[in-house]
Amino acid sequence: MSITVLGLFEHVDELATTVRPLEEMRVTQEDIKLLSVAPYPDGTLYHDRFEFPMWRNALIGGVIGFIAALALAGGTQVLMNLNVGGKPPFSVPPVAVICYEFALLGAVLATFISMLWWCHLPDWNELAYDTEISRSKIGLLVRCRDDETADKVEAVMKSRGAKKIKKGRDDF
Amino acid sequence: MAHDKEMPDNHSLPSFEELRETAAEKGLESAGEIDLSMPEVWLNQYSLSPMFYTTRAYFIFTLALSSVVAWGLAAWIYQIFTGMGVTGLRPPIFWGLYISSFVFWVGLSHSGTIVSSLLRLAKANWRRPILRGAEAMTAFSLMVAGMFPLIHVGRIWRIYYMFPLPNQRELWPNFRSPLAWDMLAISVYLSASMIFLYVGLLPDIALARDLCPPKFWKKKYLTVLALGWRGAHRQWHVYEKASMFLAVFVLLIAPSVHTIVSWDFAMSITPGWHTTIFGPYFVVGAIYSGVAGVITLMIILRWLFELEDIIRIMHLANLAKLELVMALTWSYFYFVEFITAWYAHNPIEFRIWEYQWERFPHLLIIMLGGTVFAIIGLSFNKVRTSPAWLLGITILINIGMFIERYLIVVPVLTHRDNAYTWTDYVPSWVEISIGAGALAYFFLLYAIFAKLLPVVTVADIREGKLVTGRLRIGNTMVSVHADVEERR
Repeated sequence: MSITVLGLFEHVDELATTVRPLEEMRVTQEDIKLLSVAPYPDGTLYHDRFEFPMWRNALIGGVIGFIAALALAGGTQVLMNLNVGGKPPFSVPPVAVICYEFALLGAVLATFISMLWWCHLPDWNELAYDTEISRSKIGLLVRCRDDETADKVEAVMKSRGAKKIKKGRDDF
Repeated sequence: MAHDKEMPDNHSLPSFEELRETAAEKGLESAGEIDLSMPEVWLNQYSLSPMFYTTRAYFIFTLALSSVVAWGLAAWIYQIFTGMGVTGLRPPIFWGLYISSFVFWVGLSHSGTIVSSLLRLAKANWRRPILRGAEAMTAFSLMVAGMFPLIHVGRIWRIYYMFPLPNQRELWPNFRSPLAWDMLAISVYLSASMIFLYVGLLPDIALARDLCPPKFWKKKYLTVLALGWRGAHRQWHVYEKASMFLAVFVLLIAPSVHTIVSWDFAMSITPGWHTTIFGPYFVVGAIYSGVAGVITLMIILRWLFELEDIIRIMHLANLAKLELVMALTWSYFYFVEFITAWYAHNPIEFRIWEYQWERFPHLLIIMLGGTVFAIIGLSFNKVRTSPAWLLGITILINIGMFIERYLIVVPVLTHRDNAYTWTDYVPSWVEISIGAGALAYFFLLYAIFAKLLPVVTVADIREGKLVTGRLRIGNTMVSVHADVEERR
């Protein structure tokens, strides 16, 4: 079980100064989230080392799409052997057109699914959040091991200018 | 401004007029494309206002559109029950107003995603307020375009023959036919465009979800569609990379789709159609028509939802510059296509050109004159910065582009190889009614979309505010944009 502390700040600079004291309390980067209504550049709090090979998944999706099109457009031509004007049953240019479209569709779908996967979406559970974030407050969410650490985190946030602090359990 | 009964919790905020007065008193700064000092609550209220406020103009607009859609639907039902004889289509003319409309709407869909993707990839800072409108235009014009083949086949219940499934006789569609490519390409483009639109919408849906009061009926579907988005930094990071990837893929799909639409014509050995330039010519025409469509829609959105402070004159002016480039490019392609046919003097092809000038001189004058007028007009800064002028010019451009599609489809079929079959084609009232209904349907879809989902890209505008500032150089202030570099 973990305890979460969500502090809402007016300015990102105030929030950024909380990172070092948190690290001194042995709160790791994996236990910190910056919640905001707009994307802040990487490094605003710390440099996130999270790796997600989007290109690899997109490529796999593209290859799957390509093979599916090859089976659909090429395979059915060979299976049915529908003679149209004496033309060969399998012709590369039309199959290439369909393979191109399906490969891109596969890449699009793979990118979208990968995005949802890495963003942990959909997740309609009640997680630590405050609608004030949509009114441009910046949220600093910290996962703590115990109540004692949570109290210390809360104190740090208050000292750095947090306007509002909320606590929760298992809602990181 | 009339308000909905169920107002969100920002009803206690000052009115737009009060905010504007305050802004004027304080001399708030502007960085051209973004109002840097626009208060955050104002930005929320402004951007989401189409969802929560309903103007009288909106009611009148949607009522008028619904009436036209109902009329078009009635005409279609009449055609289904009576048969294709109610249209002007007669042998050898099997493609008429429906296919012209299909080509036009597919073309119109192009610029939405192309403009959006290109501006995203180029990181053009002025892109932000227009992205959503452009992307939605693609999705809705494709939905309208997709209706026309269904209407055109007459027996709509047989449309499943085009699906990539075996029929009762275990026969698959003929994938060697450009019509099958077309069906698949349009389906792929629609799917990709919808995903692209939805991904862009995701943070803004979450914003609208947060700003809705608990009992407001829109809260339920917004909560579902937001998927639990919280705007965590890692989510943003993944989201931004996915957006860039999708922009690239959509950019690769879009030109291929209109090229394939052009192949519906060019792959046949028909004089007037069988030309290698058709692919790029169609794509250029599509972008030309589509950018005009984006400008028209932006101007209507500004007026209908009072978004003048979000979609600003400079956004329209920048799009107008792009449209000027496209007008010149399209003119070049048109001339190249014309002079090749004219110089070769193929008798049938030459006869088609003659027939166009004999039968449709008024349409050709509107099409070519409209483009010349657009090129001259858009060369002037005064025109580019005037919404009224831009509205007139862009509507004229799209009328011209519709005529162009019509003149590609019809004259060629009325004058095919056998002179004994040469005839004329006049669209019937049913075809015209369905065409008008489709136009109204497009605007109605857009109007409904603006009521249900954020029509302005709020997250993108906020990001713009985050990375934009003012810098004093000597006695002048200039806007500067931070180049946020990835340090991964």
